[in-house]
Amino acid sequence: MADLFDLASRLTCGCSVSGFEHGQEEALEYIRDKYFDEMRREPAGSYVFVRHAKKPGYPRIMFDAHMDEVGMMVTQILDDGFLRITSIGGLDTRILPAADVTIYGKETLYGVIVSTPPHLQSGDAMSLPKVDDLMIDTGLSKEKAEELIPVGTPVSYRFKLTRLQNNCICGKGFDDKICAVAGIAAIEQLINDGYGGELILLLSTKEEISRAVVAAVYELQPDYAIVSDVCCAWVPECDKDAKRKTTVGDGPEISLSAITDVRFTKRFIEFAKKNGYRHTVCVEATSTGTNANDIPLVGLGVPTLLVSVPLKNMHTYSEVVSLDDVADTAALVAGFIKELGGEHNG
Amino acid sequence: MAKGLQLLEKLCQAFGPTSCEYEVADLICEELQGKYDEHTVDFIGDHVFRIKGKTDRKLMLSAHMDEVGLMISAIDEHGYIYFQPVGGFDVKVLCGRKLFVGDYGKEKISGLIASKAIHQQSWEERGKATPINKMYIDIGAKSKEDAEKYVSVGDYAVFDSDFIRFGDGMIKGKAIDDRIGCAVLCDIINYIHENKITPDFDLYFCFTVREEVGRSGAVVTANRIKPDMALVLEATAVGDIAGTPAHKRVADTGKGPTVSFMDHGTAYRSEMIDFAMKLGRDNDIPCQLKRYVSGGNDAGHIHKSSGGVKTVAVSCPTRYIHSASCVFNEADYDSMYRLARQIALCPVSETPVK
Amino acid sequence: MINDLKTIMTTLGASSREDAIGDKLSEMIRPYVDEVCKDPLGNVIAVKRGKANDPQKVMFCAHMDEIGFVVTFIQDDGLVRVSSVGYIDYIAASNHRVRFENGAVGVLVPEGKTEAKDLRQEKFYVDLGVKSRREAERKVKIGETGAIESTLVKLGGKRYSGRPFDDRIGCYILVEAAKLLKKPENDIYFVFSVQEEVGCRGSRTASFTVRPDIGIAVDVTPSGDVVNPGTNLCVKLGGGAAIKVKDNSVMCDQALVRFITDLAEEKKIAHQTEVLTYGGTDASSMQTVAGGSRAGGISIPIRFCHSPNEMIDMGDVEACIKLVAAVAEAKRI
Repeated sequence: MADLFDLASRLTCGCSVSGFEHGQEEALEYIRDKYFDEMRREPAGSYVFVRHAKKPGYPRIMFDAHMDEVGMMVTQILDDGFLRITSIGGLDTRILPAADVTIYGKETLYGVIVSTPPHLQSGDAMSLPKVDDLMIDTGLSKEKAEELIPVGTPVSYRFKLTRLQNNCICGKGFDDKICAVAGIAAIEQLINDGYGGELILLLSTKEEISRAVVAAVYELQPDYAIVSDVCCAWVPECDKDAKRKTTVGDGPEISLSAITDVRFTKRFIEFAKKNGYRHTVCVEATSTGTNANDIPLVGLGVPTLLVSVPLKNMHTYSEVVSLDDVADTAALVAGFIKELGGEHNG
Repeated sequence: MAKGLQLLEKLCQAFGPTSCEYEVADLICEELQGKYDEHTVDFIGDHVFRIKGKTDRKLMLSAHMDEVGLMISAIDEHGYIYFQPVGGFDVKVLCGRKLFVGDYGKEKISGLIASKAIHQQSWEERGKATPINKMYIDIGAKSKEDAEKYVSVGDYAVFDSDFIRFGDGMIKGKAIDDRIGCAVLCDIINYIHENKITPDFDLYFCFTVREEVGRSGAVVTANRIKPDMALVLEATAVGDIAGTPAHKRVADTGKGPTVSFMDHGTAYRSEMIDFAMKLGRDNDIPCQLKRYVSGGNDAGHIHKSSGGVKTVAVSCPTRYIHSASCVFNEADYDSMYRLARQIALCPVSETPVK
Repeated sequence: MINDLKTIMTTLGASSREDAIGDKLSEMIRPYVDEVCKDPLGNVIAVKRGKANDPQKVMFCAHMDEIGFVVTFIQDDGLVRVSSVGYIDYIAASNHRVRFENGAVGVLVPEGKTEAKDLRQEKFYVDLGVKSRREAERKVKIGETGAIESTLVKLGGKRYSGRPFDDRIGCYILVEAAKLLKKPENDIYFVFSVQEEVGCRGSRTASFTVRPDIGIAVDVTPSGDVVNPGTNLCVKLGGGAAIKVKDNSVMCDQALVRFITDLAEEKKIAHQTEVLTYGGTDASSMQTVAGGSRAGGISIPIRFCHSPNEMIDMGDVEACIKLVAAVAEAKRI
């Protein structure tokens, strides 16, 4: 089994705010060298990894996880080196005041988001500031800040990957790079088991903004797509009867949806049941909120299923997942790909 | 990094919420080993180090050891841990924060404050801060039994936040309030010890407990010592952020420590304010008046103790105080240390209590 | 030059009714390119072939549609009800004249007793100055489009007030840039797209046809240098060509942003960085259609966008023309 913690830390440490995913090159080259024959960057920014078929007759299977994450961007440099910012993707503003950030300017800099002291807050103490009203404290003079931090500089949360109990880990960017980790682990298992078909790993970009995934899939036209994203795990204070009851540690969640591919998904669920893989099933009848919404209708159409890793605190710097869930997702996906390959191989 | 700042870093990283200041006290005792004439610990945990002076006039120098934290109040069936704040928090700086959970003498484990993800909130809930009773600590436990292996009700949690330099001479860390005061006191004792100085005042260096909840250990200490004069070393919240009108900034980081004229606990005597500001001016130490009436500190208790004590408060201007990322200017540490040292070593005849 | 701009500005063309403006733009650009054609949605696609053996396809896209109205109902008393085409700020549009495709003019007014906060589409009607439905029907038909009357007025310095600068000024820039082209290395496509204001539809089909390697939207961007801007905008009127990093529909290709910025530096063309916190442009469709392209934007700062009196600075326009031409002449992007 791949070292999941190591992969997670390689993939989540660099800058990968939507549109700035190239901060990840080192990790991507590591993945290419270890598992694939080829890596290329699509015009719209997605990274495609291909492991060529070693034997003929297999279907072309694509595993997709998006590699961008939510973040911020500098819009103005104010007096005393404070920065105005805007959000890239949906930020959870509850966690922003006094949060630590990394500013990817001409140098990589530390900053802290301003927390307005109580005497300067007007009105309701429970009302949250809007992202556009927040500032980042760089501790620099205005002149120095202007020199080092051009308008348009991306900013991401500063964090430390931490282990919790029961093989859980806590960090940022697990949405959706932890699913990339699951995909890579699945591919490693397939390689170890001598699987001979072509394997495509699509690390798509700009999911949080513009669904750039469709451009890459258009060029690839795989026979099957397995999309993996994170899903919100059940936590206290959520309505217990809500459609989602999966919690962290329950194993992967498989989505049945009229807009992905019901037959393909049901086959996946059957496979999981028959072979005793831990999983849960949820219904998202008309939208999954992921790349699996868009991929099925690209080009000539692609049979697509969505398998999710349960995650807590989505879009924060304290996302929590269980590495057991990641391992189970990898094992289930690897097993299923072997079955798909076997079918075509006769 | 200056020696004082190195000590400050160690002190800030220590686990010391209110009534659990033992780790901080241990570090201070270790640092001051053999550099004082007398050491007393009272029943609530205030540590007082005395350095005898040439006169019997007593100067109390005070800083508090505790930091804002959380106390574990319940663990639910799923292993999520509920808490109550210990000290005043702006609720907006809690959600998402990494923590160390535990107690003195117990292994600290990592956790974080969480609540529903933004995707799981109703429209009414969006745009609003999550109330404290809807947040919980997640340590990755599976169940109540599992969580209880690591955490008990009554344990504490404090922020997990590193101590780093950034920008032009700025430092960020947790618990700057008031480990910075503790570090300055230690620095002064080190200076007196290294230079073999006998001060004029009989000096009582007081590292107090429980400031953050208002029922401060400084009350006990002041009543016991009955000082003639007191210097309170603190961190003060400032609003010197872009766009804040000058009259609301309180003070500016980088322009030296503040001297307070009034806060919600104390109306300081003008001769004490003038005394401190003049010492600063005469010795080329940057210092500034705190230009806003807000907050409070141990001076509120000390100046009202016994028959009344002439008290001055010198504070380090600190942004985002009571959050995981307090920010101050390292030059202010040096200025605060120098001003406090001038006050500590001032001949009694040149002070307002002559 | 100003006469050309006047023609481009005064030719009516609400989204989906761009034929008239499309024809005029085709004629204007034809002498400076190798081919001009019109696609099924009405996009005008002009191409200047490059001399390189292996040319890149560089597509510049400015939309020629404007926001406007469509007639939905004619009352017995001859008053006309309309619906928005694209986003209309009714507070700004209130009490202005509307001109329809066949030349009829009326006044867009709110019903009496309407408070400012209630100024919404359903409160408005157009008064054509007629007395009956029959008379009105001789002037406009249901389904006919119109727009607030176009104007172009010179203000102080190099600034102009009028409408619709969004995005006829972009069309003007493409025409002027085409005039500057000599013999480019790459295949340069100038696309005047349709239906941007209703969801960037024209540029989708045009991109599918062209399949650009590089896609650059030339459109307006709101400037933040107004009194109490509602949001956090960094672009300044008169600050030069704005090089787009993002808006709410696209994260531009970083290498392309750097390339354009470096080129502007090298050629000493006034420029600034654009980070737009809302809105979208044709760059998004160029980026994601078919196999996708490396997309970016060169934007013209504008004040009071989508109002009857938008404002631009000709200094910015000149910078945009130079920058578009410079990118078009570049060897390899």
